[in-house]
Amino acid sequence: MNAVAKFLHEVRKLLCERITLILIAMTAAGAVWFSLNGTGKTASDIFIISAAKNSAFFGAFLFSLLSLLQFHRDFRNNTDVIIVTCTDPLHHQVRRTLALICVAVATTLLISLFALPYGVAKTGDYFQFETFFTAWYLIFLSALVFAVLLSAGFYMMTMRLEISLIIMSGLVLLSKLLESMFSLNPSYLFYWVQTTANSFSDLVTNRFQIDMLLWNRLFCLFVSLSVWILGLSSLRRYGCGLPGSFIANCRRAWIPVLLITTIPLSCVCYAFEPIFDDSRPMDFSSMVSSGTGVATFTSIGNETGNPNLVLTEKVFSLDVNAKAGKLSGVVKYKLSNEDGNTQALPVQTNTGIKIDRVLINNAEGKAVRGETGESSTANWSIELPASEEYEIEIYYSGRMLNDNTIVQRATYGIADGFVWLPAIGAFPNLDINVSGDCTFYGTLSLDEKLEPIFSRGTFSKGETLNGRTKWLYTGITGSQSTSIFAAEYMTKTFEAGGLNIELKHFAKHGKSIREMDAINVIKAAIDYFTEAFGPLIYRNSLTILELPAYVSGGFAGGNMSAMDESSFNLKGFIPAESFSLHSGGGIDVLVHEIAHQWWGIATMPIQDGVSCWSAEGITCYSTYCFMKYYFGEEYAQEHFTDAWMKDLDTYRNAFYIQHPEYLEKLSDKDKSNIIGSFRSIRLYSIMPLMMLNGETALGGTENFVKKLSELYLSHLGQLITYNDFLSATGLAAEVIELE
Amino acid sequence: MKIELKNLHKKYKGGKTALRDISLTLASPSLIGLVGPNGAGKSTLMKLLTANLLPSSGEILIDGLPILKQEKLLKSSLGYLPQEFGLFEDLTTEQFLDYMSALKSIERKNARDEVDRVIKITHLEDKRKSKIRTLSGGQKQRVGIAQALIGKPDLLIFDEPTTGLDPAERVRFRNLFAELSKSRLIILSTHIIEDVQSACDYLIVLNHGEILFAGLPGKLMQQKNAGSLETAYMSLMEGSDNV
Repeated sequence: MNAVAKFLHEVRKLLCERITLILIAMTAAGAVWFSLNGTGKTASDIFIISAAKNSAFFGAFLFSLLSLLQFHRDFRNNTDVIIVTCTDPLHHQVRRTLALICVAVATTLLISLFALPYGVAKTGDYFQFETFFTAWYLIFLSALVFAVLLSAGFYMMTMRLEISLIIMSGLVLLSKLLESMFSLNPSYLFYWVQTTANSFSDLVTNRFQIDMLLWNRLFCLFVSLSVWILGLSSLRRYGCGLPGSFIANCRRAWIPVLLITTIPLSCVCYAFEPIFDDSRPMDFSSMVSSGTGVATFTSIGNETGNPNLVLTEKVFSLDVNAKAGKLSGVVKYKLSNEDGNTQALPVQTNTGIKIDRVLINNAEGKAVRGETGESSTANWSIELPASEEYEIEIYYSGRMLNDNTIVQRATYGIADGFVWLPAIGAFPNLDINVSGDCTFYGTLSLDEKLEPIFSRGTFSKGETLNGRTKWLYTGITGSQSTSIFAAEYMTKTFEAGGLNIELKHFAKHGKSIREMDAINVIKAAIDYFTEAFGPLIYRNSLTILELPAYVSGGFAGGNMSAMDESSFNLKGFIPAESFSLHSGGGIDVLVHEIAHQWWGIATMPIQDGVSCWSAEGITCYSTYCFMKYYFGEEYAQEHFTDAWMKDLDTYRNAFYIQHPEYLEKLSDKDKSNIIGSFRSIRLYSIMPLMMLNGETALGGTENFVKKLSELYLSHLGQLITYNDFLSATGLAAEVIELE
Repeated sequence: MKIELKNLHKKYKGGKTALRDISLTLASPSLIGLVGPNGAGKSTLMKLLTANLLPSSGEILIDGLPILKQEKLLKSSLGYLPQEFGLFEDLTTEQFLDYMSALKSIERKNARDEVDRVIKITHLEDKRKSKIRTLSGGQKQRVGIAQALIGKPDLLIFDEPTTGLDPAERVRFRNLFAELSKSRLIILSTHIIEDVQSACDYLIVLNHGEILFAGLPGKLMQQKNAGSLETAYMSLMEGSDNV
């Protein structure tokens, strides 16, 4: 009788057992309950992903229990004694483990009978089979398989039920616990049960999330296989102890071969993780930016890498292959050299981009990769010969990498259906001075179904050939970078606040945009802010851009305000676990990012690293004012004031705030992550509360907003410091600061 | 099948010596009775013969080759009933025996007949569809014997097989073992002398890990000038204990 037949008998035997059926029923009942009680920001999240993640947690525990009971019962009852005298004990353990995995598959298929029609019915037009498969097969089923492998492995190693149960319970809880330790930014590879996958988009591809999940599952598979094979090699034989049994088992060549394959593969999988880079942690102490999420920032204190060189022209030809997730291109630069001597040209790219070739005045040059900087910046250096003028061509290609610091979340890159190339990702930027009359233009080649949006500058559609369209771009004179987005967008144009507004939303979202009356909300917000603070006189158009849910939040930059798809939801809400407003969803984010055009783009409230002042606080306060005006006092109280107060409590009760001396004992990376999360509360919650104190001190909202309007109009295009704010409002710091 | 035990010595980790210098040759066809008081080393010897234990020194040869080299052959030709064993309680008798047939690599097409055969031999026809958890102790013991008989193995090792059986069943199984031993090697470990006297053609008496006697049962009776095997055995034990 062949191995398959023996295996099938093992499965049949397992499915005849009462404990198996009870645990399958419990797992399935849990899945139904979690499906009916899902939470999240998108329909996919609420009705599919959340259910699968919670079921994975519950199921991993139950399948650990099932596996341990199976192994332990047969050992304790001496059933194994009968079995191993007529069959190979190692083969028997392999069959038993595979049978348990088979039960996990059967359980998942059983659950799918409910989850698939339920998901389809609830998500409607937003249903994506890829998301369903990811949720129930990549997250849920994988968690059950890993639970079986790890439980079996630990049991065979220890031959003790209670110890194995403690280890498995610990591992399941640890995976859950990691979610609450996000400020320490643990690697996403360690989330073996639920994974970090969240905020799945209903509207565009979730390729970035799925790629992360695939790598996470690959790593977890190798680790759990390693544990299982270690267990198998420890299986007690011939009455020997652990060392004797290990030696006896390793006489089978396939066991050491598997051991020396899976353990190194786990390490390789960890070391060569392909989504995130080795970015340096942000140094918040020296940060003087206009705040998180705002693309523009001051150049105070930022000296260029080589002040002797000046960029006078930049022309690019960029080819984005969305299906392959890669880009390639060439950029031609014209530079002038102030002293004519040899120079080192500092070049910055995304960490995933490689410079393939360099031509300097038509001669071959060489780019040398240096250290990785902050925010996925790879630093390169090119040696330039002595000359007063240069024409440099840089050929580059690669796949974008995401920043590994703060929170490991893949938000940008290239996928079939959505492209986001941040300013430093689209083309190599030169870390040198840019002349005021520097021209910047080029062509972008894209799949014809995708429409690009540039964060600054103008563009027009060129020819389409073989399914690819060329887009002609002209940047703002005196600049050298732009972010690029691309998706299947639909456009609605209208006027508000004297500006031409373009709302670019995903094609699938048309119905929801109409239902929430998004155009009128945007119009009302722009008109309100124009009325309250003053006009946006620095430009005549503004793009409101929809982003996928996994971007989580939004940003303002150049001539656009961008926000994720959950912002286009009338019933805005802030998840209970959210640390700040900015990570919330709903209409609040839409308005918040529009308000940034006044605070962050038209003016630049500048963070000083000491006070809570930044563009975020005043933007949050402005959003609150509009919401109070548009939705009423109750909405503003619940969604803003109460949320800020909750954040304030969190901040005050935080361990490292109460015991800052321990912060110094942490690594730079951990310290940076924790300071980053505190900083977020200070900017997004504490500063708005201080402004509410300002309202009280000045006799009401109207008086306070009037002062802000004066501040805005007097600082157009300029930085605004905390002292500027205090001077303009006539408030003393002690009056508004919280005790 | 021929099993040779050469200077077998087994000492457990705790320091207890279970077997001392055991040398024997067992060959089929034969029904060998292994008797001795509790703690004599019978079960240890069974475990060594089934490769569930390794000796501290000495060697076991099966058909002339060391047992570890013959493990595959041993497993394919062994039917074993341990003294204490568990069954899969949620399976029916038939399902369990079918499962064991699969483990013993019996072809699917023959498995059903083989299960029917052992069910008939062990008189479990009326319990064929009963879940094992509903069976009495004696019925479970019969299921244990049935699984050992599946595949008509060349070597049958039974450790206290008649425990829990009623007197009529004991007699029936004794006769069954005698019948089966005409074409194979059966080793029957027991402390019930009656079982051995009526069925075994070779007797091994163990005490304190040593062989006190190995030979024909009649020879022991003759040596001890006893009218029954039980008297001869008691005499042998008393002599041994006095030593």
